[in-house]
Amino acid sequence: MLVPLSWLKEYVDCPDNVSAQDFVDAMIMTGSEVEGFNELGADIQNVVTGQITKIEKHPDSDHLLICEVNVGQETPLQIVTGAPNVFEGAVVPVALDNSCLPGNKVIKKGKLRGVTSEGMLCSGEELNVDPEEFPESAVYGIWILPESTPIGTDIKEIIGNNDIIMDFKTYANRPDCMSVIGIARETAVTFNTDLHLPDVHVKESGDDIKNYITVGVSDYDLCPRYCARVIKNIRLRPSPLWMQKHLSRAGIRPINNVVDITNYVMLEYGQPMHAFDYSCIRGARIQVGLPSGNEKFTTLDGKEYTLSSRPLCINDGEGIIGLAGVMGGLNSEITESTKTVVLECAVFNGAYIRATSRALGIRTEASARYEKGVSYDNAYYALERAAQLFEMLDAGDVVCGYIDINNGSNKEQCFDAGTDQIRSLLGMEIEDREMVTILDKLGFSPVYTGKAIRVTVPYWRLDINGTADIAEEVLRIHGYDDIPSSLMSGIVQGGRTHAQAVKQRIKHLLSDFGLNEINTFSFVSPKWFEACRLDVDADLLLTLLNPLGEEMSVMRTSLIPSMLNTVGLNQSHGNHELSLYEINRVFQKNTGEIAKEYPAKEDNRICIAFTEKDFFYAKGIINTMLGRLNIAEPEYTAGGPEMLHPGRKAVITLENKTIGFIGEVHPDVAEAFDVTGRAIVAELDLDIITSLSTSDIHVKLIPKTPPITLDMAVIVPEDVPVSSMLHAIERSSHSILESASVFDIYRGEHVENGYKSVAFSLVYRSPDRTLTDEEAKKAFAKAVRSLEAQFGAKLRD
Amino acid sequence: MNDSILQSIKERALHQVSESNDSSTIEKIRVSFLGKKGELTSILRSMKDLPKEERPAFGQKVNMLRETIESALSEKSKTLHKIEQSARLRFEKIDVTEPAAAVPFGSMHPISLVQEELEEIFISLGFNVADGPEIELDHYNFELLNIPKDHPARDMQDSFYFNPNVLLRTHTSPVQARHMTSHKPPIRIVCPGRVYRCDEVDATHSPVFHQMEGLVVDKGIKMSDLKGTLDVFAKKLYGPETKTRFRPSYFPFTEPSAEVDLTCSMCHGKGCRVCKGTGWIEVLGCGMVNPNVLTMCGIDPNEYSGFAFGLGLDRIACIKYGVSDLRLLYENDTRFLSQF
Repeated sequence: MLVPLSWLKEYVDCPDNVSAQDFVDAMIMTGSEVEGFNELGADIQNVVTGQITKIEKHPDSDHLLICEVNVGQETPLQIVTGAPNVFEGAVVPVALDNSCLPGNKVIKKGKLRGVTSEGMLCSGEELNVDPEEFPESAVYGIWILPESTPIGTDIKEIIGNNDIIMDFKTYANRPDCMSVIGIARETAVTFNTDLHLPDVHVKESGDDIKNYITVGVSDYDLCPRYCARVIKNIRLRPSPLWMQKHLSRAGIRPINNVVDITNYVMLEYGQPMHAFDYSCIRGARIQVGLPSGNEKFTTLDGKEYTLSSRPLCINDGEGIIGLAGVMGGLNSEITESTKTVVLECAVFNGAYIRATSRALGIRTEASARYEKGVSYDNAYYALERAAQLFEMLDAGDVVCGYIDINNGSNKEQCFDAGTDQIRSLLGMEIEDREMVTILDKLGFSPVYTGKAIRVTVPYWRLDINGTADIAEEVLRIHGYDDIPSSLMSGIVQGGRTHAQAVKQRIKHLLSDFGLNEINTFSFVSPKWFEACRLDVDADLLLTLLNPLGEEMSVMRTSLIPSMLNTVGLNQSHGNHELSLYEINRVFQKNTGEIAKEYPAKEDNRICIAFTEKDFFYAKGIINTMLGRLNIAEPEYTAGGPEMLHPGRKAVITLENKTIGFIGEVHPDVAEAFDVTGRAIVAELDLDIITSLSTSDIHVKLIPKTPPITLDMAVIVPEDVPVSSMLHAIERSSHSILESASVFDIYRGEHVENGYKSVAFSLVYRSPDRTLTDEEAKKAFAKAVRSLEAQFGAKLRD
Repeated sequence: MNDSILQSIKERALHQVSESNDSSTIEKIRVSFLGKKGELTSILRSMKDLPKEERPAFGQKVNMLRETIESALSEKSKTLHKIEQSARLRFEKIDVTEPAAAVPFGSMHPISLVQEELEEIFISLGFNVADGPEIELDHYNFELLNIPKDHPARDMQDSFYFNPNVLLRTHTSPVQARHMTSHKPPIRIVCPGRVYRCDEVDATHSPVFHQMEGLVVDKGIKMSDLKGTLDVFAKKLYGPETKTRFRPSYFPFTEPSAEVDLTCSMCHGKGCRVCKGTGWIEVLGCGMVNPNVLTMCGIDPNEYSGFAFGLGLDRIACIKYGVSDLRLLYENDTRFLSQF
């Protein structure tokens, strides 16, 4: 809300000699939120009024004049001007040495054709003066001010733009501050100065409102109070300049005196009001209630709405004339021919107005205030203020009496706030006396009872319910800067859970292995599922009702699509060698009883991707990572999801649990994500990995007996998995086989097409004695035989 | 005669040794005199032709000669080895300014780095790290936090909904609410994680971002404890000279509430581009837990009090690493990521 300082000053004494910045800072420190401020006259500096006492012709010029100007200083100034309209005795604006004019013009002492000029006489245009407001400024030449103008006065005082417009934001709990008076109250308490609120007396002009209108309210929950007055003999014309100036500086366009008064009071009191043309109210009756069906209604701004969302309506005897708290209707608008108006000042249910405003997509100054809440008492005060202004501005005659339909629910709220309780909540030593003073200044009518303060919540405060609120009131005026620092007592053990620690460890491991961690959005395009050939159970898919766009509309069920998208984007930026990982959640709906507490099943996944690396590099990263988490090497079995190359993919299992998959991205899928070349991806279930990971390490002693290492190379058909051969070797051997590993796989010369040569290294050892060659060779032969029998393996020479 | 043969062998051998200048020649000399078919060996073998009584004396002489030659060979071999090694070392000189071998170079995401750093700070102050769902019930995201339906504070955080009761959490506060409903005080937790709000992506907004909130509930917790805790946090994060400044604010779940500024980490309070010349950067929101929130979560506000605070990890990361555009954090360009 824009608040001009000039308007604010009408209600509160503002400290002198405080800069705009200091003023705003002080307000912020007592709890106002200020977005910024605009110093209106900031572009005019050092320009004062002066009187021309003598004029001489310039010796070297036909059109230049040398003026002697009294600006209230000891000696008059000598100023050269080219303007034809100056005369001795004229009072004019004088830009002094080192002055500023709009447009960043700087005026300095200088010489004009050899004659010293100690400043400049200004035109209205040079000072950016509004010619409508000051018609005499519009002349060609210097702006001649009225003779009575005091000399040496800052010109900004004359123009009236010596003003600061402050932009106050309102916290959701302080709707009372959406008004100039609300800000004035805060100003008074911030600077400890006096408040001067309008003295409201309504001069009524006879007649009786009962002769004009009756009002009914159908639902007091939605409309706890409805006040109204009738103004007759409307004399429609522009409102006075001071009101127009206040309104336009507060960002509201002046229209006519009737509309301006309602807007003025809304800004002044924070209470929205509406003026209906009485002649348009059919049946001389207003009824506040919900519409019966899908009626259509045209608002003031000429837009038609179908009222399917059941907004609260102001009805006359025949139909709707306004959307309560949002906007009036075109059918009862104030026009040139309006003779009598009905002024509405009501309290509507904020939540309901908010819902209406959202459903219809209309937000107005009125709805913004109703949504946050308006004060029950303030509605009546604002109505009276408006009536007073009608009379003051001679805009119409106030009919005797007013309407006040209400549910009588304006109970005063009183409670005791313990001063010790406040002190211990804040951890501050604030004296009881100071608390009382602060609360008094804030309008809480405090009564000190020895250990507590009985407060009465002011009618304009809707946010005060208990001692914590009172503590904040005391604190914000006493000063947040004064809060001391203390440390909590007691030693407590903090830390991460096992799952958090494992996740952290994995991030470190993968980063240390050369992978870059990425962070992608949790919602994706449903098209990505298709592009990745993901099996998605549509019933379990979580789809946003209000996504930012279709491409961010469903919760992902896999990290792979986002990963491929990231790979593609990086490649398009020329980053070709990629090693990436992401650890984040995937989502699907929970069903059954658990859904009541946890609507979604959220699983933690690890996704890794490589370009310019092969399958076995990725496999090595996974195995090493698991190894570092004290997890055994998992099984890789050919197979896996459709998104992968049919011959280069594997399901990864450990202890009969599937922990994920790995493979080369299928060329069609790669193309869909603009991934060029071969990419290897894997997705692992972090939750299972977490459950398998342990920090327990049991050391095996280093054997003292020597090993016997025997190597073999066998030729087997291509489709025999190496892992099966290793299993066969392990099964065939007795306890003396310490380890069996593959050290070479060869295809090519000397090996028939469709076959491969696999070389194994078998290490035999007994922990308690030295093995003989015969024992080892016997076991080795058994292993060879087993490979021959199971896989048709042929021993290479 | 035999003696002269031995003498001749000795002279020739020692001469050859002294003349040799590489280790392969040394080896050849060794073989030609001491090898299986070497001269000395064959002389020793011919000893059987000598009279029995001469054999011991002769054998002794041969063995002495063998030792002499061996020791000459070994001496020379050592000398040559030294010469050859120093030649090799000279020859093996490398240009140390050539580029290093490529060791894989990975990185954690800046948000992970900041999250870890903050977690460590709070863990050292006795906080546990708590997690919770990202897809939340309205009940935990709003209701328990004193933001009932149609409360204007809901405007502060426009939310993504799945249905009227289920949404993407708009802050990590529901983790606190869940924790309070399931744990008895004393509570001391931080809750880092992803949060979501309906903001279009631009330089300062992202619909997905990260927060870390903290919660302490115990007997006798005061606002000064909050200040003290955040003071320690600020000093650990930005250095011992860092100061905190509390300003009044409003959050539905705290009362009193405060906005907290820290002295700018870039200019140390002198005023710079990062702090827009003020010397302060707005870093977190906090306050004393609203008694209504405690009550709704099943904690008696007459017995316990608490404080809560929350900060944006993305914002901290941007300030810490001088990232001026939030989008960089989510574009995942490796030219950016590799810098961490």
